Amino acid sequence: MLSIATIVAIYSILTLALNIRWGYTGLLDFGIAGFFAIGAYTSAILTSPPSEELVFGVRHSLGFGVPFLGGLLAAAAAAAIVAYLIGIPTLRLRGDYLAIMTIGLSEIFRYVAVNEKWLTRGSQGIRNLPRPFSGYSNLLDSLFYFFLVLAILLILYFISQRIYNSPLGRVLKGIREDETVTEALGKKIFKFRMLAFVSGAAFAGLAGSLWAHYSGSIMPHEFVPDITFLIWVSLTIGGSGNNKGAILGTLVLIGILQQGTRFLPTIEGYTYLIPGLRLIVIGLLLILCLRFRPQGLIPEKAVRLEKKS
Amino acid sequence: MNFLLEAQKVVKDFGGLRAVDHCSIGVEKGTICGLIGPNGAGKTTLFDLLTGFYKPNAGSVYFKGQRIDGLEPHEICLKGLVRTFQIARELKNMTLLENMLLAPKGQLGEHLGYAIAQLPKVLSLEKENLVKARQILEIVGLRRLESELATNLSGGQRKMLEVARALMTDPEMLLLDEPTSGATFEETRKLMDYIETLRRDQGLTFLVVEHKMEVIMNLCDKIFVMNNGQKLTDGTPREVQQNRQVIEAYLGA
Repeated sequence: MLSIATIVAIYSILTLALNIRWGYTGLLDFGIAGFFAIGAYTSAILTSPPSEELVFGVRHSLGFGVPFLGGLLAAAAAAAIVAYLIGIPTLRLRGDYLAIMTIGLSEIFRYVAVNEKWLTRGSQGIRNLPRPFSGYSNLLDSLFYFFLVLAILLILYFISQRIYNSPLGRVLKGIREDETVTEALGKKIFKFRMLAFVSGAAFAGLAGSLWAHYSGSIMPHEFVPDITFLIWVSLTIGGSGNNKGAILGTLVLIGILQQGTRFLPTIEGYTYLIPGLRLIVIGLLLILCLRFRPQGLIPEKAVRLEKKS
Repeated sequence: MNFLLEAQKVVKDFGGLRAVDHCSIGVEKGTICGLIGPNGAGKTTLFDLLTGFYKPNAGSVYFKGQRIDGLEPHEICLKGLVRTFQIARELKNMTLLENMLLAPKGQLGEHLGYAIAQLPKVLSLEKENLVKARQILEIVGLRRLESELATNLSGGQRKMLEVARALMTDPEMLLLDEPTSGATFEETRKLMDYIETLRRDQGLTFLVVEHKMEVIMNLCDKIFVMNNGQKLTDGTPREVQQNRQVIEAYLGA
């Protein structure tokens, strides 16, 4: 249970990241998994103890023994910097072009992780990542880690809400609704798109770091685009544009469907039945949701201005 | 002559088609000018050239004596020249108030740090803008709908919102592209009165594209007539009405 809760919380951070990009700003972004990977690898490489071993005949000589917190912050920073650099050429693209670019780039990151063995140990992955509370017993370790992730999720939720209710959030929504009008009203569109793209990346980077230290080891194949699409389904089901919806959607999809079904007994002779059914159910749920509740479980709410005044 | 907004021999080509052909206009401060012409005459393209949505192939545009062709649309808006669109472009899934509050310039809360910290400065600015937004909505008759999503408005109401929103940017000059199309008789009257009031009380300058002749003829001090991308003539409503070329362009005679 604790491990499911932790996973859900980490994925919720990803959903919040996508919500800033897509839910607020309307950036059709399929690259969340890539920034998740950058965060995970940055943190893993920085926090691993220095090593000098041969992996697949290549000397893997990286590892800096940085403390966990350093890795966490560096992960967010690295993802944000990469997003900024990518954003310069790609954020001028609209709609589906941006989607293709981002999914391509997220795959490129993954292949870099597979091939640059000196840096990432290739498909063997990086193992034995330090856990911040490893001094305690197993249970306490997991418990403390869950609370840490939960605390970070709550902080990020708070930040997302603040952005949504601020004039900044209004500009982002304006861009989502009609870029041309927002431009005509004196807003520098590119700057705001970049802001949404970079903040989303920083969120995803944090999630990546939390994931790496939760699972203790990371491998390139964990960061396939499937993650991006699961996050998309979570956000769509939960309610695009609504942060509570984003978290609820993740809870339903990742918590109940993806992780919860692990405990179902396997049926003799049909080992792949449940994993297969899982995807079918997710697909079905998405279709039903789009048909009967396209705004999601918790629809986007108009900002209440009265409360503030 | 000292113009607030001046276009000098601007040209815009789309492929082999010359949409605007060496067109020159000058709008004096505090006037209401009309821009008329048959469909396809290049009126909207001229608007796009004046507000930076298109870059002219030749010619230049001046606002307050500064050259503005080549600037981005948002930069031109910040200089005090703002436009509306021929087909109303309300931000559909945002409330009327959100539409209005998007527009003001220099909102501190648009910076990430201020947005997250919500300093009192941000909140008080927000309050000021809210008061102003409600005043304007009241005048254009949309106040009671302020919390509705813009997508629920009627065609005429959308055009009203469009003008109201443009006013929230605190402009010196407005370019209105068919502001009364789709509006009822009542709405049209209201908007005309409002434009007059804004000119009289705040000294705003207007350039209006309009097909309804009764609007143009009653509202404008000066009218520019375009045909086939060129300026046919300009003058007072009376002069224009009596001009042979104008009658020919409209009636095709």
